[in-house]
Amino acid sequence: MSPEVIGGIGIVCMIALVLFRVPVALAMLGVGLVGFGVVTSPSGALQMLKDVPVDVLAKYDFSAIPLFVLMGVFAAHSGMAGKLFAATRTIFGGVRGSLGIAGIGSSGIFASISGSSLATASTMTRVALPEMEKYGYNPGFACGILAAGGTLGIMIPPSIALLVYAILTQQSVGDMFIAGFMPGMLGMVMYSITVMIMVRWKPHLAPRGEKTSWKDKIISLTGLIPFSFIFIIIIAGIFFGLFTPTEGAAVGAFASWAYAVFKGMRFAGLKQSLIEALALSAVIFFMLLGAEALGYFISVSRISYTMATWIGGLAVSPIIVLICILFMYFLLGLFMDALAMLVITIPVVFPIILALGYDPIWFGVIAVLTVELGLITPPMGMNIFVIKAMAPHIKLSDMFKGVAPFIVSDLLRLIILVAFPVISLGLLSK
Amino acid sequence: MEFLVKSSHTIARLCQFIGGISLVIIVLVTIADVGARYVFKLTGGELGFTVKGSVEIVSYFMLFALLAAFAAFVERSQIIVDVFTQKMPRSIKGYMMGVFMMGFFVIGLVFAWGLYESAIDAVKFGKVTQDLRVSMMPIYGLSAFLSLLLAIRAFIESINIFKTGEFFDAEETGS
Repeated sequence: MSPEVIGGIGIVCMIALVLFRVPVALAMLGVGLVGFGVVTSPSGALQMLKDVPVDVLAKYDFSAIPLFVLMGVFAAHSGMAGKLFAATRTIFGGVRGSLGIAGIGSSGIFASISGSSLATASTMTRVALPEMEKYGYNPGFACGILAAGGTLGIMIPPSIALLVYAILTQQSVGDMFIAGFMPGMLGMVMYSITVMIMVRWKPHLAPRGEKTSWKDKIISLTGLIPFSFIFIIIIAGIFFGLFTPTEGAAVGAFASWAYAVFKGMRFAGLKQSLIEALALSAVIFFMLLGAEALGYFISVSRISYTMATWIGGLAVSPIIVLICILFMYFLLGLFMDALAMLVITIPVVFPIILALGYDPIWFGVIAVLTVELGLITPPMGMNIFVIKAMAPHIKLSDMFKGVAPFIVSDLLRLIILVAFPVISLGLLSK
Repeated sequence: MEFLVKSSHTIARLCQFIGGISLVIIVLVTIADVGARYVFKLTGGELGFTVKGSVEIVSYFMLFALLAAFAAFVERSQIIVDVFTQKMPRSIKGYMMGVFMMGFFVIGLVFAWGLYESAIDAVKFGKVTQDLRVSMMPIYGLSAFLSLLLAIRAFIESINIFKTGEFFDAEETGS
């Protein structure tokens, strides 16, 4: 049997294992190990498994991940989110659906610090959902707003998904973050427009917000200062080469911790934050270990090279191939975690994208946007599940109904980003 | 069984402590490195201290932090696709989870074995780190120990799941 056929069988087996409840990391590790052993030798596979922990866990480039996670956890514990929501609701005061727009705006800004969609959704739900319910928002619509707002965390830098993509594909982390900025902002604007359209079309979804004076609006801008400060330090620092992504993440984590201490965090809070950061990092790195083992197998089986050559020889336009890949991401996103999906597919898909001549940074942005859709689409919309856990009195079906307009908005954004790569790459053309 | 469960909790707490300390060290070393570099630049090289070997300190403490995190959270840090098995009886899900934990037990053992061999090699061939010239033996040794803790915890969790049928279900807790 040729290595390519073994590679193909391995990928099919891995997908089957994942669909039958095998933890994603274990499925990748198992298939990677067995496949590598079949293509090379069992002793080679065993040696590969012995080497994997140091290869992955002691890799300096990866050290930015637990530090960005830690920064997000500190931000969530510092009470920044409450201040942020108060500031944005004052800024948008008086507009119909103002609390909804504030929810989107504060989620987007909070995402710039947390780097994680689930952390953004859970933190902002805790802060904003009680207020939205109090002011008569349709509960399903309110949850839809917050679930969609949470997805901004996967795109607005520093995003852990973009960071993982950059490391796996050996792209510049700084370039990846900058490329995600405009699409993230576009998402924030389009979600806000979606809220406005929905409340105009169905006024019962949300009442008009309390009016606020210009003086109040200007004063409320101070609530945005801590976020802007940390965000600018990290992004400007990485972009202008003042420090590496790991250093940027450490500075961000330290700044968030300092702010949390200033706001009253004590030793117990620090301990809790460290434990949460470790737990979240374990989830990510278990998968990265699996991806490393799977990557070795895919590499020796030459399956991705063969597929790239085969697709390159097909008489179809590259855009058709790209649409097929994005459609596959969309389908996988219906039932698979966003980061897991990226980690599993990148070793196979990335060489194809390069062979088709697409910009790898741009592809990273649209791939992450497509997997982001999976966070809010049924049946595995993780952001919805997080919100459901915090608001058990609201029906899951109402939440999925509430988030539907934002899925349409995301699909529209995806089309815009595919049609106009300059939106993602414009800030990079220095 | 009670003794095993208590031991598992104790190991988890120990690993949380090691992981937490390692994370704090990573942050502090990186901050010190960045700070020292800018003091060096701002003073035109007059204050010329640098944090030697910061990259390898960060790398190896990340290794400790993550191996400790694996051991502390092995049963609750797995992403599982549940879409086709939602209606499966909970007892079968529990049985499957017990089997998967055995998988992590084996992985932990292989990691520990590999790292133990590396530690022996480090002593035999006098292997040291690149910048700080510190022996690699304690680094591999501690990593092997943490991997062994991962194996022990995965084994205990597996036995516990088979015995009680209770397991961590992310969907139920919403985490």
